Amino acid sequence: MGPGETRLAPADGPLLAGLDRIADWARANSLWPLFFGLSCCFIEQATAFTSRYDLGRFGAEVLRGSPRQADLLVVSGTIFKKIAPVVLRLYEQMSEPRWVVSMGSCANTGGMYDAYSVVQGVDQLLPVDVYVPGCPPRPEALMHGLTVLQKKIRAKERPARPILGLAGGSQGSTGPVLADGRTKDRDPRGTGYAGTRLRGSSVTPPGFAGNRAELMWTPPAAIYEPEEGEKRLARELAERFGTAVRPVSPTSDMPIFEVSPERLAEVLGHLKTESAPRYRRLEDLTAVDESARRERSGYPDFHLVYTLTSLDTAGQVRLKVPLHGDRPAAPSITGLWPAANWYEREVYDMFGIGFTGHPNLTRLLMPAGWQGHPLLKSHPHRATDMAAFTPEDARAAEPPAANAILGREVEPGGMVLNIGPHHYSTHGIVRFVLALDGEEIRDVGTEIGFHHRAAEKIAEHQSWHQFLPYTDRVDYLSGAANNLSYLTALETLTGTAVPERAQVIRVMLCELFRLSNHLLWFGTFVQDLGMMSAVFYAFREREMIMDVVELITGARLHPAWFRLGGLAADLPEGWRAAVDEIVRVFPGRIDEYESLFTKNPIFKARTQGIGVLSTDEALDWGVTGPNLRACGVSWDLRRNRPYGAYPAVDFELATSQGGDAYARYLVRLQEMRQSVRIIAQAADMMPEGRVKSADCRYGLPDKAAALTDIESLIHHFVHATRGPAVPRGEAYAATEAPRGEQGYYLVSDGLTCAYRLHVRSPGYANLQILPMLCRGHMLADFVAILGSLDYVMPDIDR
Amino acid sequence: MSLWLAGLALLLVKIGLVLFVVLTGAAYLVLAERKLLARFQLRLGPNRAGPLGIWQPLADALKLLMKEDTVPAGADRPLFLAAPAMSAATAMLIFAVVPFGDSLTIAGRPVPLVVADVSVGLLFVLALSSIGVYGVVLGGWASNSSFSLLGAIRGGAQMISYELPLALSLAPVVMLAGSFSLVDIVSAQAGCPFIVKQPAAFLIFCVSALAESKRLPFDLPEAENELMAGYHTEYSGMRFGLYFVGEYVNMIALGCLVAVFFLGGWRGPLLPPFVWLMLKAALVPLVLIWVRATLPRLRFDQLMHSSWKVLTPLALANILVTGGLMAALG
Repeated sequence: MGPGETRLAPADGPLLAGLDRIADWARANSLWPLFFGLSCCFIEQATAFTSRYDLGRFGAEVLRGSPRQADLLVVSGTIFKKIAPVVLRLYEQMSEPRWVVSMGSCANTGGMYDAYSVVQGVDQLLPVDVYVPGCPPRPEALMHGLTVLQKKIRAKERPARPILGLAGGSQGSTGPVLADGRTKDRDPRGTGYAGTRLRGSSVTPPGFAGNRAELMWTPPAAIYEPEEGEKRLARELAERFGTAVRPVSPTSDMPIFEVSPERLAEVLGHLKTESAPRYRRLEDLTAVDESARRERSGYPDFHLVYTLTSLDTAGQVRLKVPLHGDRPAAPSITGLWPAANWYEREVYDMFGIGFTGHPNLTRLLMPAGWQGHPLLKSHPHRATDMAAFTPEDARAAEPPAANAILGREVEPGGMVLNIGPHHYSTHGIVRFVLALDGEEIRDVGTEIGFHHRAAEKIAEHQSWHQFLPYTDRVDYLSGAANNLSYLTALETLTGTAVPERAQVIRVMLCELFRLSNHLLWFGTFVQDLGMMSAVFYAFREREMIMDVVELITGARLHPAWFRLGGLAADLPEGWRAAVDEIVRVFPGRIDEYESLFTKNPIFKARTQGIGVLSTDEALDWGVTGPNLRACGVSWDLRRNRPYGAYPAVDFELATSQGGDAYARYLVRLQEMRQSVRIIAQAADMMPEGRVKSADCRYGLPDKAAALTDIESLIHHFVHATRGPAVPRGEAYAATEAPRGEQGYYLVSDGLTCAYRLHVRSPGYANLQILPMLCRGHMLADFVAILGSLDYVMPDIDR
Repeated sequence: MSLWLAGLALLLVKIGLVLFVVLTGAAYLVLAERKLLARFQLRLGPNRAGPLGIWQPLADALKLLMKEDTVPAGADRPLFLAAPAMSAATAMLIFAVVPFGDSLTIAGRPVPLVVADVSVGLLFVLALSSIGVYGVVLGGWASNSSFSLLGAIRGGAQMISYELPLALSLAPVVMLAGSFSLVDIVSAQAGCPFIVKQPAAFLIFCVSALAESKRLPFDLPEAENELMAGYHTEYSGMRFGLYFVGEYVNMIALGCLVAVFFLGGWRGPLLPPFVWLMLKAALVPLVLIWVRATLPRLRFDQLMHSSWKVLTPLALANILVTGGLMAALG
């Protein structure tokens, strides 16, 4: 019993009261957590186990993979409607007594995700003992949560009677499960706002009728000047396909052609195999519901959008296919690009658009029983606009059968093994179904969508600035690198120039996050192979980086620190010393990691020749990032389509041969060394000057200037309240994020929110190839391959 | 009659003492492992329950005892309930034949410091480790869960495969000592511990014993990254605790066996015999913990290869060489 705690007065005699105290003491000191994490918060939860924080001091480091052996469920992350049945089931599988800590805003209330796919708080499903606030809470906050729970156990529980099988007493979580809208306020702002309207809801999606931004004049979108080769391509397409291919002009980012659905497959085939230049990679495939356009008559009902990339010229081209009707269909291009499989399924799932000839056109992200197609303009945005989610809903949502995920029956004598949606090696919530013959893998089925946070729909009702914090959480391990992808697209569309100093700082921050991401990957990858200590070494360095990130941006995981046209603020005093320390210490630490693994015979036996990806497969399936470079392809957007300050820094492209798990390991370690080099150069060259564009037509002006200058004040007021109106148009831009090419496709209808925003995520393409890599390998290799791919679920499910 | 009674009383005292020492040792070995792992991982480890965390094992044991004992629907109930005990009991029974010192003389009678000096003590030890497999296999099978089943299959195959080199590596020890009794084997090392004469056998025994103990890099039956908790996935409360106890008692037992077979048992200068034995027996658990903090895990087929293609042939060759040398040197 700690100081200041008051115990319940004993209701029983000294024997039972004594047993109460002994049991409470033992349980408070031996809270073994379930190995369980949903989203970003889990990263901070995991950090709480590492050296700086060491939850082990409280006897709570014995993470259990099996719910039977766990005492504590830390719900760290967003509760999705698709994962809720799993959370409930895991809780029910835990042996009594059990306690629940709700970690982070999402688990507490849904947080910033008042979106159709998200349950607005785990207390609608389970009793909660302790809430830990924050987005994400720091590791210290979780430690505090743990000690609060210990106090609660010691002061408020009388377990002797239940232990002895007598009536009465109390143990474990007993709090009530709340009912959304009845015992809990549905207002996303919390209690006390009843009767007042949500801010911004006077102009509501999808139409935003009466939006005052319409009254403001904005210049047209930036105009892209096609290169000579692209002009030739336009002529070539016109000759060959006539009126079936119509060039769109002007554009902001790349040549765009409108293609009639009948000739689509032909045109794509021509671009892939015959045209000059050849567009080898299907970069992205998505759709836009055009039904809420303000000038409706100029648009079809839907546009399908295909983005192709040429690996010869690094150029890109976009094809748009107009579709009409409620549930239109287009030909599937899975024959041309097998990678189109998931993309087409997603479009079907989100828009209800059919694809004739698709091998398995079923829902991809949403649960099987979902009503409607979420990215249709008519679908509700917010969870609070929909019926409340209850434990009964969770129980009714049975997960699909393993054979349905696998896409076939398992042969007699074979075994089906479900890995996930929650498992040590899934690195997030994703379900794999393995068809095994003994320990050998015959086939793998993947079910994604458990982490669908509806980021793309949220963009359609948050202002262009407000959406920035959502980008941090798309790939929650890459922090500021997400900001950059989004802003690069937005700056392309608006034609905003970024000052040099801001560009260099952006590069420095992105490379710090690349280091931090690769460190986490390294630690968890070798842990997947059974080496349990290296993750602690990696987190030691990761904390150094988090300290610098925090010094500069004020946050750890999710800085949301870049701004349209620059940064939120300049570098703080003392940044140089902190960055120099990393540059000084880091290379030695990478040597240390290498000494543990690079020549370790067990490590080599576990990774060499495992999960081999050929160069052709990698290109066909749109694999990017370190996974692509491990196949010997020297392709990196920082080099091949440079953006920001990258042309000014000198670094080597890390590549390796073989395309196996070992090669992917080598590439990432080499990339860490190069990142340190880039950081050092960025710090050395750091130019003087502004960190925010002087042009504040779209970007926020300097706060200081807003206090003295009326123009700045007006812009500040407009941009900070309803936000800037971005000119009608569209742009796509990708950057080399830590785990591959992350692109943002933005469509504006001239309003203060995106008309459509789509994230081309590297993990999506990288994970889709999994079955190919695994067939014929053993169960343990599956874990090694998964780890070597380095994906993160919100980046895939968005 | 009184002599018989006194003998029985003495035996019970010996068993009680040994169990107390072994179980306390196992509990504190868990703490030692958590503290050492923490140190290997730049952390402190448990230090809140009592000064320096010394009551941590007590808290864990009490908690496990008072936790719900879940039996999943569809499990084979009798087997499910019994299997953990087989793991723990077989590990503890090994201590019946471990000599803790030379004979004491009490009231003019010699009292051997061993619970039972069985003439085939070495075979008894091997037999127990074979029976220990059942705890894993039956527990995993009875759970009616995919992960448990895979863990059980792995455990069965792995432990049976490594019995072979384990037993074969001990054949030269028996040849040198001329006896299966652990007491005689210790006596035979009065001049020189067998590790000097049989370094190869020592290494083979250690590796095989590591595999028998199902710890990293050989922890495939419970490989958490692949099988969540492997064969004991469905166990909760003290039944899971028994597997835990079995594992750590087994580590101490292996330490004692290495000491007895290769390091001269309780023999050593200055310190009392029991202290020597404990010091030597502590070596193996410490190395096991160190290895666990350092190495990645092998894959199933690689594990099998190393037993059948490397260790077993080596152990056989070692027997031949030892026999040949013994014959040549008379």
